[in-house]
Amino acid sequence: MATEANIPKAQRGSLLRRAERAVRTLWARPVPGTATPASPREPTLQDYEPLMRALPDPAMLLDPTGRIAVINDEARKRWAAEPWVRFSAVLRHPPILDAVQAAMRDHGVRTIEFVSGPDPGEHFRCTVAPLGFGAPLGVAVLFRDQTAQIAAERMRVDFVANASHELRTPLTALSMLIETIAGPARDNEADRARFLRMMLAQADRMRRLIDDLLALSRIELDEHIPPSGLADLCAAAREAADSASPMAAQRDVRVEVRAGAHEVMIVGDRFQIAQVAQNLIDNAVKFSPSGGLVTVEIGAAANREEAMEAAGRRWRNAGRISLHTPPPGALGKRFAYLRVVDAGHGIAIRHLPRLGERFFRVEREKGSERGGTGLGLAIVKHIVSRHRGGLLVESELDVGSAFAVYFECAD
Amino acid sequence: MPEHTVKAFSEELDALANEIARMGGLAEQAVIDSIAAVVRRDTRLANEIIERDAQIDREQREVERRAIKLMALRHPFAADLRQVLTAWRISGDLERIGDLAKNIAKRTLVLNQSDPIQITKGIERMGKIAAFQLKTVLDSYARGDVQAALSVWMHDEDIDAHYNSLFRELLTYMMEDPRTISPCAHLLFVAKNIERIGDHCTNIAEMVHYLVTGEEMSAERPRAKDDPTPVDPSSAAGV
Repeated sequence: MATEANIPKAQRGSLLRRAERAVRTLWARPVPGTATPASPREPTLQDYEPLMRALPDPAMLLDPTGRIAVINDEARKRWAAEPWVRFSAVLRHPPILDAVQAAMRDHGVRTIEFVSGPDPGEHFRCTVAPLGFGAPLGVAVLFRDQTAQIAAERMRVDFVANASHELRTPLTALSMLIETIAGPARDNEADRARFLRMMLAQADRMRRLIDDLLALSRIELDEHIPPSGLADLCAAAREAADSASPMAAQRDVRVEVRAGAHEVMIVGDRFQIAQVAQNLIDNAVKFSPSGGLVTVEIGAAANREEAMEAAGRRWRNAGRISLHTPPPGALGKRFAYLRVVDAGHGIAIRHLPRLGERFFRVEREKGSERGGTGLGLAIVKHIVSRHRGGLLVESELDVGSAFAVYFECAD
Repeated sequence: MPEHTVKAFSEELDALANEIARMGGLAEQAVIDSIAAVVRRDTRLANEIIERDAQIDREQREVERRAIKLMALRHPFAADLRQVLTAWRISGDLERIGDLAKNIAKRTLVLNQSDPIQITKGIERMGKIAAFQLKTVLDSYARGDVQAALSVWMHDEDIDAHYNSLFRELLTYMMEDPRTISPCAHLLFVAKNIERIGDHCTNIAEMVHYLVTGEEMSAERPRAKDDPTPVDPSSAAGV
């Protein structure tokens, strides 16, 4: 039945080789004059395994049918792929699939660059090279991750644009005040003192802005490196509440931390988690009316969906949005959350999606200045993203707002 | 040689899966690029997306052809049958996603003829979520990961919430300044297209669930609270 036509091309070769081997064993004694070479075994892709293991970057070898034959640890970690998996189930970016197919066909080496996934995706420079002499053995696919490099470049550009725009406002105010002091107010003692105080406030604002911008760019720089270490949500909340107390007292706002006696440990950078708690609590205090109450609650849930319910889906009539959603993680992981509730004016639904955007301030239209840089929530969002956690907001006008973060618990 | 037949059959199923992966890659790229084209007002990129859509259509016909051939010649049953059926249906969803991205690109060409509108940030965020959903659901298909498919299905409400909020914002814009009505209307359709891309992602998620478990998804999907239809013009103008 097996006519040549219905045997796949890849198999035809192996049938031939099998036949050849059979003939060789039949004629077991060596024919004089046709000495067999030192290594009669044909090379296989598995022979390259030690080499692949030695490569510092992700690398794979594909067999001629397009399945993974050999994969090194770097690639395994990144894509959770195993040998025998179809390559297209791991990466489906059209240029790289085309390059692999073309390499099988014409034995040429290709280098392509591609971005995997939605913005800010992972940037790879990828070399596709065929292996084997004559009969194609397979294709080597070697990757170089350029994500960090490109992120750093983009950040430099963004930083300059954002920073110069935001610094211009206090700077304009400063130079106008200087002009006034040097000119019309030169001889008026009282005016001079008043203007100097205003100048100090503006300089203060510039310093806060620069601090926040630097913090933000530091966080962004290692956003794609998962944190190691452990952080206690309860401790972070208590410390943040303590350091917010002077501002709270000034505004006559009470901060109440509701946490159990036990610590709630998550995998995370302790300082960054502390910053998350600090920014959320500071914001809540800032937006609470005098005499208001800010509650901070810490809890744990059996899985991600339950944590999201508990952290951000409590109020029936509130508008809500998920500002950051983590990628689907492992099954059966416990999650912990931190929820900060204020009794402020609430945020209109149409503003919710823009929260966490740099320099976005809800109250800007009302013209009131609360001394925020508009970067606090952006910092929170980036830290949460690095920790593969989530950030939820629910808000109801004249009732208040609740900001919640949730993270995977430490084992 | 029954072994040979089975091998050829599994190779054909592989080829079908490869085709879906390639289509998915193309659709993903089209979605990401179309959002970038709107946000950056990139006419060249928009034209490129419009041109590339024919490729997705071709791939879809190829998937259909392969699926029909497989069913006619191999009479697959159980898991194999599900694999062929879901590939067919997913190719339909991906083709629609490609069309929606192309439509966004076409509207970009029109939008670029009027003054920029400061609302594209919202479009960018919404598009990012949709692209992420598409990536997650395609990964879940490639890995047979029901959990990931479920999470896509659950999180469609995020896109809906963004859509509702954008809808209100655009309405406010149009009422404030009638000159922006034409570009805003186009942006409204862009947002609607992204929202529908999200819906196709949930369709694919349902297919993945069916493919892996053999059962249909039964749970009720959470919905975004705010329905965009009952908008009171006077209240929107007052904000």
